[in-house]
Amino acid sequence: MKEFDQSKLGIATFDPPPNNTTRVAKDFGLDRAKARLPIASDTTVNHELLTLFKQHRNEFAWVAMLQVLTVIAALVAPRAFGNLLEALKDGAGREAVVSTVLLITAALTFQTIFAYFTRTKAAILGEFVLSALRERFVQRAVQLPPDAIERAGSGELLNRTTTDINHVTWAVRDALPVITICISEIVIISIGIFITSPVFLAAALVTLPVVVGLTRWYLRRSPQAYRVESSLYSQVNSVLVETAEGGRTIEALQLGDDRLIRTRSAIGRWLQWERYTMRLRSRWFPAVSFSYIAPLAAVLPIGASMYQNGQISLAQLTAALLYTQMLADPIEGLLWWIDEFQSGKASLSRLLGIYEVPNREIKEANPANDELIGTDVHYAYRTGKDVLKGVNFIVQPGTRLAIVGPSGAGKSTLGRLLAGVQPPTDGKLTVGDAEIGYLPVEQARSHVALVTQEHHVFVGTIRENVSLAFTDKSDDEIWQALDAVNASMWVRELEKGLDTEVGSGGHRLLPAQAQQIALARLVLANPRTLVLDEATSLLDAKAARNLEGSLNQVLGERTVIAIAHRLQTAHDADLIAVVEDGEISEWGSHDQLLAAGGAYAALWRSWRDEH
Amino acid sequence: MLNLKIPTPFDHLPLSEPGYPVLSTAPKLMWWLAMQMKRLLATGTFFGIVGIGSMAAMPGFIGEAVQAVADNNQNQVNFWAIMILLLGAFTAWSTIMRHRRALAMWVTCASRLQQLIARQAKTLGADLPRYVSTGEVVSVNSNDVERVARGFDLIPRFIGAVISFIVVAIILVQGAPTLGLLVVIGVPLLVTGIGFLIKPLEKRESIQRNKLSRASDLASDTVAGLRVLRGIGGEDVFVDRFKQASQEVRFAAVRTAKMRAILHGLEVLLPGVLLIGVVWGGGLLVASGELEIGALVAFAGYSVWMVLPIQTMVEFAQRWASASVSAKRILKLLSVVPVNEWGELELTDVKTIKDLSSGLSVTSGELLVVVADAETNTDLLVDRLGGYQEISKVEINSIPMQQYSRSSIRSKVMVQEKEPTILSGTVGTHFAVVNSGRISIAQAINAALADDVLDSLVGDGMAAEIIERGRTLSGGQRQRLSLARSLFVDPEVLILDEPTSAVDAHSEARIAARIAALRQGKTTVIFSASPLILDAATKVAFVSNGHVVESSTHKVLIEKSAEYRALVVRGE
Repeated sequence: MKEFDQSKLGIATFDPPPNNTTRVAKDFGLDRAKARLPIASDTTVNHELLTLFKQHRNEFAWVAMLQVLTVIAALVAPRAFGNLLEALKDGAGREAVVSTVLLITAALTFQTIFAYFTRTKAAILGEFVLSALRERFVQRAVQLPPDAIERAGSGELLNRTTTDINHVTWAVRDALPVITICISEIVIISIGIFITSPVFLAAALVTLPVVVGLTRWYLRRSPQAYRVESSLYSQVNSVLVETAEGGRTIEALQLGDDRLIRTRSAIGRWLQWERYTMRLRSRWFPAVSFSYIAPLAAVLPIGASMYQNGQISLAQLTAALLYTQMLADPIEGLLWWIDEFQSGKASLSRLLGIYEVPNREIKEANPANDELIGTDVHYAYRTGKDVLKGVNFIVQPGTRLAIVGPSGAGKSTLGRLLAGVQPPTDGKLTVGDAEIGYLPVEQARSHVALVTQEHHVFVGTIRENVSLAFTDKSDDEIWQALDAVNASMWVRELEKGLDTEVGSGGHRLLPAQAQQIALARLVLANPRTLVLDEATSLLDAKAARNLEGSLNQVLGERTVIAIAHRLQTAHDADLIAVVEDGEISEWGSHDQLLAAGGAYAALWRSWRDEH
Repeated sequence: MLNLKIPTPFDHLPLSEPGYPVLSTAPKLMWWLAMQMKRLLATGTFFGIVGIGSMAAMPGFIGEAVQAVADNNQNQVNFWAIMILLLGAFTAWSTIMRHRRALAMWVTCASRLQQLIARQAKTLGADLPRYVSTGEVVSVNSNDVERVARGFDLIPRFIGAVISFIVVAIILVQGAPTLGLLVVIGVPLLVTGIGFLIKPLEKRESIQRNKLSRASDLASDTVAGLRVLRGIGGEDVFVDRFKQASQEVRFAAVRTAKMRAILHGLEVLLPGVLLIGVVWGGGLLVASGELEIGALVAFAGYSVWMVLPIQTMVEFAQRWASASVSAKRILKLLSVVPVNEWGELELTDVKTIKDLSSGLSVTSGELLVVVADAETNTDLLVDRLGGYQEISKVEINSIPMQQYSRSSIRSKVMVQEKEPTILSGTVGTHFAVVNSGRISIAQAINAALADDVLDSLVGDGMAAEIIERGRTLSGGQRQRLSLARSLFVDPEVLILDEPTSAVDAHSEARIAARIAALRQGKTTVIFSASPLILDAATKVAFVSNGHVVESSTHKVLIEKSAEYRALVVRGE
């Protein structure tokens, strides 16, 4: 098999890792697309955490108290064991054994009960906080101004909804309790050792700086490396899935061998990072695990000489030894989970970020009627690059306007401005004298609604998909809406009719059916002006025309603005706007434009074969 | 830091060739996989035994040291302290050596399986959905490969655990028979006793996971459809729906947490009970002078340590149970042998293609546009012409298609499906396909009017990235990008199924003319009923109810057939 030539095949999503254990940048492997939604600052996040803490102060106090009791109970057994050894050495008999067993049993019982309640209390609190966090997030997400959603694209918001909520969940459900438990264990066990003998505490902690130093070394390198590693591992999967799903195209293009090379190179890129992380672990694991043994070796000789000098008892020494061993786990746990917690905090800052999206600028107004007027409308996605270059028009209520023109001419942008998704960057677009781009969303959409070729089917029944907000609509009304978009036929044929579950995981709708559902929603919502951006493009020509016909009957006196690539839509309209290169180049009825003999007329003729 | 390349036990990966596994039964497949990494398996197991063995020795060493303290023997204490240090160092070293090999085994096994699956997918090609659903392939990739591979990486630890357990058991029983037996029998009982709680916990966890994934689905669904919601309304309905799901998650999570808390309590309680048993039994032995203090300390240490190997064994049993289920699924995928319907004949020139059942025939050099009515199964017709279905019903150069080799048909006849797959990568990789060399990428892009698609991508020229398989592009953009690729390939026969259905009329007219110009001298078949495309045709075939009823030019057909006119002429 030929060697993989990256320059030929592109896809260098991540640079390979260093050959040694050199650190890679902290943000390495993060989504390269710049965040298109704000991210909350550390101050905001800390403030939010503090607020949460304050709100649940009492619950936190309970959990902390239970935890302290648990650890104290855990300290009893080693000491009792040490005492027993001492007593046995001094020739004690059965009674000493029995009383020790009783003491340990009592302590163990308490420890078990406390441990159980600590965990349950912490979980109840944690789950409450979590559910509040995620519900508030979704609540805010659905109130984002439409242009922010447009800008962010669904990917970014979706990412925050899934990945970030999950991270925060892990942090709250796992990291936070473990961290609290570890800290309290470290503190209380250390106190235990200190009481036994301050010298022992020094010996027990002799390797602590090494452990902390090494672990920090490791944690400065590992999170980003593991992130890249796991995303490269899933890339191997994506390549395989593409190979399976695109089988037909791959065979047609004879790309079979190329797929094998891609699989192999994806594996290669993943393994480079597996090697890197293994090098990191190869240093950190052994050093740290040795560091937990070393204190034992330090405590022993010191303890022995102190014992000989009569400074401590055998009981104290034994207890100190066991306590020292008990310290290893919480230290490791703390170091480990603090890092998890950090990543949870990063996700929290992304969740809280959506609160910082500026709200739409509102200019309160009450549209007097439904006349749409555009005055010198400009729009630019990037400053200096106007997509719309001064568009003027008046659309009387009840008009059927078709917007046609080549792709990239600015038709869809005009559609979005008409629906008030955002205001023009320059000029004025009004509905009944009110600037629609500045009306509150709820008010704007009662005047103008937009349906695009993007056809999202929600998880739920067909009834829910059509009614959306209008949960009080009767089945009759829903059937009427479906009738208006010629969809009642196939819905009736479904076994469960309106109750058929659709959307991801449910009955799969064809793209054309999804478009019909989208239009049926609009019929039911009944706004006074409709903007249809290629809303029937996925239906075949005949069906599209039928649908438009029946839709027109239902819509009656409403204004309909249809952006279409099919010329028959234009033919059926009252008025046609030809948009070319950001400007309206022709404007008039079908007959007027034919008579004018411009670009539209030429296109129409070739389309109709009137040579 | 030194810029040295530190070797790892899997530097030789990825393999250039994944090999040919035994595909008779799942255990044999697993055995074959194991035999491909004998060396790793052997050295890994060695380190597993010495590593876990050295861990097992630690309580004994500590016991000796405590005994030395009790005996007031400072030299002995120092000696055992140093021994503990050395043992600790040895454990640390052998553990990481074992880990390196265990990891090497898992990546070796996983990457080999991935390469085998890729090869199988390539072999099945377009026929893959006939044998196995693509969903199945996806799930085998994302779940089963990892499960099988994870089964292997536990082997060294498992063997080490078993051997150490036996050795420690012998030491214990020899040291104090009754007490030893108590520990040796008690520990497995306790560990498996905890195991009984695992099942109900897993059940609650899976309920919780389902609720969580439902909530998360609802949230993603709401967010994905946010534009619709913001445009029409219904936000509150959806937020309420999510809140309800979220609260269900909360209650399920608390239920799980309570179960887990019980388990955690038992994890505290059971080793404690064991320790109490040892203290009790051992203490009495010491009191009666049958056991030394140091030995009691060692006993206590051993009994706590023995939980570890037992846990490893339980984990091993669980992992292998799921690995063998997964191995069966992988086996099922890998052992599919495609039916070979094809012959050996090499196709050199395509003079004619004739579809026997519809009567459609294509002659070399023409631009044939096929107009089919709603009663015709166009997909099947396209598949037959291109050699994807019912190949016995098509003749090329008057010879049945099935007598030719599959590869020679694919290299001469190319079909562009209705919705062609765009593979992730860059513009460069999109065009990294076998081509005639006659047409440049720029010409192809220009003919398909795909310049604006390139402009909309992030990055420059050939390096511009097509993310998410082009899902971010509009339907029309994807169509034009695919068309450019097909034109660039420039096959002898190009079959295009509705290539411009989502393209606006302005662009469609231009594209039609450019396709005609670019395909001069080659054979092109387009399935379309658009007058703008039909204008460019050299011949038009009108298919009604699955059969060619008329075959002429567009102009003649318009005049002659009312049925045809009704289908293509619009705006009446």
